[in-house]
Amino acid sequence: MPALMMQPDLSNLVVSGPVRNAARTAWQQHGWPGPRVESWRFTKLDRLGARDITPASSLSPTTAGDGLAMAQGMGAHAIRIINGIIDPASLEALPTGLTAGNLHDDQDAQDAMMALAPPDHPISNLSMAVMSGGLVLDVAGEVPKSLALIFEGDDASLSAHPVVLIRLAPAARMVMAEWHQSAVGLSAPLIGLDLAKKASLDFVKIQTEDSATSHLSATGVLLAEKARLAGFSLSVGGEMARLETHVTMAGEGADCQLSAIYLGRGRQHHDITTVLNHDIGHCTSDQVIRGVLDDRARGVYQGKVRVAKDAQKTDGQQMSRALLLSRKAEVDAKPELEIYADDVVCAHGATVGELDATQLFYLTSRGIPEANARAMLIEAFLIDAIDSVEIDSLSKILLNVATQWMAQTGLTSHGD
Amino acid sequence: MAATTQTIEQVQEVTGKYKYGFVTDIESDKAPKGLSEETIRFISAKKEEPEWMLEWRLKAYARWLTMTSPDWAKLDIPPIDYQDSYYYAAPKSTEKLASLDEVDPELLATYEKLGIPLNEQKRLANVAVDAVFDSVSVATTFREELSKAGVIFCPISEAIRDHPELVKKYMGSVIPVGDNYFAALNSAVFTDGSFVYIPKGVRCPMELSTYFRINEQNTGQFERTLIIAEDESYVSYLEGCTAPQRDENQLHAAVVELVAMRDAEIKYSTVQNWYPGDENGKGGIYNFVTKRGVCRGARSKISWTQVETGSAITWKYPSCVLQGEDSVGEFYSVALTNNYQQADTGTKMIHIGSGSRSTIISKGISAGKSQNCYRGLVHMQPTAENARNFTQCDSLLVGDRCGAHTVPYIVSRNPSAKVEHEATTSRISEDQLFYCLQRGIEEEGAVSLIVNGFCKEVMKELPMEFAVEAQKLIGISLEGSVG
Repeated sequence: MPALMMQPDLSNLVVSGPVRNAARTAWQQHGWPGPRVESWRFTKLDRLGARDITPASSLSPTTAGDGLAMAQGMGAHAIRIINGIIDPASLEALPTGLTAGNLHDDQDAQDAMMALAPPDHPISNLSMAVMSGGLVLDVAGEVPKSLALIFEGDDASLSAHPVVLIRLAPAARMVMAEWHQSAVGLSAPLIGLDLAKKASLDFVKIQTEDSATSHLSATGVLLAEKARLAGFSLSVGGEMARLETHVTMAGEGADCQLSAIYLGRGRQHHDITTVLNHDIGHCTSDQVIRGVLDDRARGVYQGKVRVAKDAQKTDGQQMSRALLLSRKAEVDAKPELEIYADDVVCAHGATVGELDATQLFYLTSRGIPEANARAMLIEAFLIDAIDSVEIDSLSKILLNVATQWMAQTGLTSHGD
Repeated sequence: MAATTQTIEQVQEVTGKYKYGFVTDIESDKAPKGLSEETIRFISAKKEEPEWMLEWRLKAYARWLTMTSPDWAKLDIPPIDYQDSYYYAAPKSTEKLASLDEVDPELLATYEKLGIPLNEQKRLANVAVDAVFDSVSVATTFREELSKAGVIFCPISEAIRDHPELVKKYMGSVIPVGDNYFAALNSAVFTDGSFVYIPKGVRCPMELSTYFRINEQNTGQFERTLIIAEDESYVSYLEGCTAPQRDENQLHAAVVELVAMRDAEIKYSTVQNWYPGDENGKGGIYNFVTKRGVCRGARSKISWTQVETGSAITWKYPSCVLQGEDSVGEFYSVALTNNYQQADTGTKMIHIGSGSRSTIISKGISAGKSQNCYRGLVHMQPTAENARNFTQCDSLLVGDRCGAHTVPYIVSRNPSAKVEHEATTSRISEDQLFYCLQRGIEEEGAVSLIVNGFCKEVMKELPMEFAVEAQKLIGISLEGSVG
């Protein structure tokens, strides 16, 4: 469908190689999705139409933010991506089992990246074409140290288009944190996670961008036989943010947990979109989504579970719950099941509402001030989801960010 | 697995071999083929309509020309040539008949085959039947008894003539002419349908029922139904559909509008069993229906119950606009698809009034190579203080070549409103089967029992008269022992 909005033109962009050229051609053809494209009905990109795509031309030093502190706290090796450009210094002394390569010169990896990238997603084409920074990380064996990818930036006139492909060799294991904290105008990371047989990846993604930043990230995941992915996204920052993840389970016995929390206030817009493709049988997926919205914030959750023909013995579960704290907040949910195989167990649930009045009464009747009781219940609502994270260092990060958000929103569970 | 095969067979028996596939041979009075302003003028003239009605139709037609067919549904719709269809066909004798004896015997024989109680049995069954044969109502019964209660139940063309003030006031007030592509088409070319008016405080003395019947080859049916329930009134309306076997695809684009005022209740039940096409997906009815009810007054209630087993393509979302304080909307649906049938059906609950409540129970059964999709919207507007919704969508897959899809949309803009949605997809569980078998129930009976149980929540909402036919269609009483 032709888009009915302004579109940034990439015809003057210098692009090398067939993959990136094809991506540019596709971008020029489709651009930003218009208001009538079904998967973008709840998240409008109108304001991006007028924005020029201006990647940074060189690496500029920035002051280290919370991201580095977070990496240090969890004892991780930090790779810094500043204004969309990979800081080469942070690729030195990588932990054992990690090898870094340059995606700019690697046609095969670019091909692999495009095969993983969410199809029909504007960032798949845009960031592949622009590629302000390109990184390939190969992971073998059990990586002794966790990895932190820190996306920083300080220039609102810029748009950041880093492309990161992470390939886990058979039986490789890694723990990773993705930290997005930049003040660029548009933060548009394209990330590919390719997990070979029996590989395992635990990761969290923290979106805590500047309040004026638009964050649009596209993540593509491929899971081979018995591969395991446990991912958790937390979206609190940005003016408008959409975290979209597409997972394809291509080998039997693959397991995917993909949970998320979005916390919105002011006029923020948070969108969590997931597509889980069960292409083959005997795989399991589980998603837990929680949202809390205050002021005039809007939260969107779209989650699709697709079970292909013959993907028998699939187990796909999805549960999304949202809390509205204010009269002007809005939540939109679209959990979706698309099922072509019969021997499956698939279910989804969705609820929207305010705090449970009886729970609130229980706490206040025991002498807890109402404000504290409310905060307590919200905290419990979030912890309920975070509890599923197995790696302590990761759940700690999630908890810290969530607690911080609650404090900033004036929600404290203990008396002053 | 044997049980699955058996279920497939049972489902085939219900939907595959179409037992109502016969054609009645009556010469008809057709409009020129194709759609144009001229066709619309022809229909309007044929119906002896007043000028304002013609203008309304032409306005709708002008709107339709600017619109495009919706493409968001999970349906693979072959291109429809709107110029290759007749938009009006009337049975030859259109003059008013005083008694059934004057009705074409062939027509009566058709009803007989369908089992419509248009003879004396109807009195026993307490059913007034406004039988629409192709596009013109030829017989309306129990009119007198109804008029004693002050109820108006007549073909819409008659209502346009006799009650223009009501029609002008309400027609298009729930579904505007430009609401969607198919509603606009219907507004331009609708030929007949029912009009029901229940005055204040009246409880309609009987279930009202209309059997729709598509008969003339190449004639799309464009029914238009309007039901108005004044304050404190009640009506239950039954709509049942069967059609003769056809090779060519036929287009159906109906519009149903319901208006419920303060403390009024409208119960609208449908059994839809149009020709679904053959085992190879050839032929079948295209069913694009716009149904919407508005609960205008406080504590008003609209309840939709549907059993959808027919049609090659179903595109249908009976909806409720819950304007009144504490108004109630309900949607109970069983949709069964087999062979190459495609169904994209569900509901919309628009909560505006404070304290409004809605319940959605949807049961989808897919078999063969069919695709069955539930699509529904629950919208809580900022004014919907303390509104509630509960939605449950269950899908049952029979065989491994079909698809079952669930696409709920939830929009909430009021923190005190509560929305709950749950959906499951599964096949007949081996545990349930085993449980029945080891208690001595035959496999056939066990499958019936389980499918019966799966649909029960919806079936129990149907009026008695319909429940029997619906259960037959669903296939739970195939052996005549269950249900």
